[in-house]
Amino acid sequence: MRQTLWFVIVTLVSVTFATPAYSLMGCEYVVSSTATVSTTDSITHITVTVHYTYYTWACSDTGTWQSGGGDPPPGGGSSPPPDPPGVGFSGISDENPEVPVITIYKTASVTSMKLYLDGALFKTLSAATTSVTLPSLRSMPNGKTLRLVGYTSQGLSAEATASIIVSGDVRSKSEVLLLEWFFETGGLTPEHGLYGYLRSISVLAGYTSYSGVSTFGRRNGRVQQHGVEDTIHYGPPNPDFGWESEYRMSSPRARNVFTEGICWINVFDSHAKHVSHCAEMDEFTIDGTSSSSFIPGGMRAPYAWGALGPANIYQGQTITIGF
Amino acid sequence: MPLAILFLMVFGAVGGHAMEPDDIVARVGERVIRFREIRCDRIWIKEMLHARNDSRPVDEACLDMEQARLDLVLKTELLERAVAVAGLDISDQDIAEQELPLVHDEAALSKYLEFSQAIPRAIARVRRGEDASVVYAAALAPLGIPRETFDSVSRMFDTQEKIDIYLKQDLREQTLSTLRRNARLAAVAARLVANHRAVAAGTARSASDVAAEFWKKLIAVTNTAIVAEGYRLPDPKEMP
Repeated sequence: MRQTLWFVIVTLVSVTFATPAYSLMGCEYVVSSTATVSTTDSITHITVTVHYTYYTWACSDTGTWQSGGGDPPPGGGSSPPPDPPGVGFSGISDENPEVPVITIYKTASVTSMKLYLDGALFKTLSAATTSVTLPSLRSMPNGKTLRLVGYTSQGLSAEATASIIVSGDVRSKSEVLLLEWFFETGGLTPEHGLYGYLRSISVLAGYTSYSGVSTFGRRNGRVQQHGVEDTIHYGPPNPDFGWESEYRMSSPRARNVFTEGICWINVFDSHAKHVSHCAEMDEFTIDGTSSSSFIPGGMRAPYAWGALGPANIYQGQTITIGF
Repeated sequence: MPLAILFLMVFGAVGGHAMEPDDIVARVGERVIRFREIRCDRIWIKEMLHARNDSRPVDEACLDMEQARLDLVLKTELLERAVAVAGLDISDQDIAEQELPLVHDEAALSKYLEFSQAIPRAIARVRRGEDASVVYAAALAPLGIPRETFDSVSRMFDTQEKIDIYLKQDLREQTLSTLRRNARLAAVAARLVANHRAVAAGTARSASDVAAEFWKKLIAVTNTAIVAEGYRLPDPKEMP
């Protein structure tokens, strides 16, 4: 006679381990059925899926097998089989990319854990640990692996892995910059001159994602902006002009405005001239915000240093780029 | 020794501030470029230097600006003539590639024309007795037009007659004409860049050397010359 026992094994969806048959004090326990229940945490909004595993038992003290019938198995086999160890990463938050936090889960039998980063021991964790502060995402290159190993007092172990994936991309956008000057001429009244310049910005960015663990909270670590190039392409008859620009972004560290300095970018197109401004940011971007390169007006408008005099920026003063 | 030359030796090039508006600065063939076309606004220059904490003398900054304006006029005139000298065949397609979207966008063009009339209209209101600061705040600041630009352009429109003529002209046609001309000249410039690169390819010369040689020749055959002291021809190396 076989009986379903009362204990369950709990695992996370991100953890996989086998459901073995256990041999304990002359008894064998085998899986009879499983059930799955999902619950969602109200704070982290992470859904945890719990797998319940039911066992039946059969024991043999004398060489003759007997099945369980609702009572503890004979021969002293009153204890259920050990809870197989299980550990997992339940979520990761890079809301503060300088201090990302990973939350972990373990089964009851796990008494200690170790967290490894790229194979090197990062921290030894007690059974009570539910979250770990990781190094800044700045030091997490593509492919960085997190490995969590949980141990039971019976010497069993289980592990879970997750990895950090960083990919690079250049995000570009072009617009027409329209500048208007007023000129005195030989005619009866001043004239307005309107000149169009092709203006393009390119931002080198790194995108962080995770494998083996889901995220929670604002994804401020998703985009790290490394540098920007703001180039104006032109040729005659468009006049030269001096100009200033600044790059504006929203970063968790509140480093939001960067002065773009003159830089030399080799550009080959049909335009005779190219003037590029560059800035290095190396800042993470607050999730959901866009960034822009901006040419100020007023006395910082594009007319300084040997240009034509006071100009109006009619269009293209700000180029906004999303990530 | 003539007094003017002695003055130049002592004080350096004086640029345009000692010149009259109708004085001739340069010629491109029959085209005469007068000082009024390039003269700087000394009040604006002074404000700009102060705002930027720039220690250059006003005369020097003014001369730089006038030279930039002269470069613009000369390059425009020379590009017009480059078509014939270089034997270029500029197609409608070449020009279309250089045209601003504004040329074909009636709504955008109308919006710009409103913008281009904003300063002269504001100047007219001030001439009728309204307070300049109030007019600027209400009519120009929302358009992102700097106050210094308003003040400087106001000095250009120094008579009611100039404002009236400006506002009564066919600004739409004038603007389209200017934009089309700029597109044609940009097409010429792009063609010259391509030609100079093609000539330089496979030779020891760089494209910029080829370009400089072309512009020297163009300046010579078009009888382009500086007339007034203190100014110079555009650097051929800066040409397309």
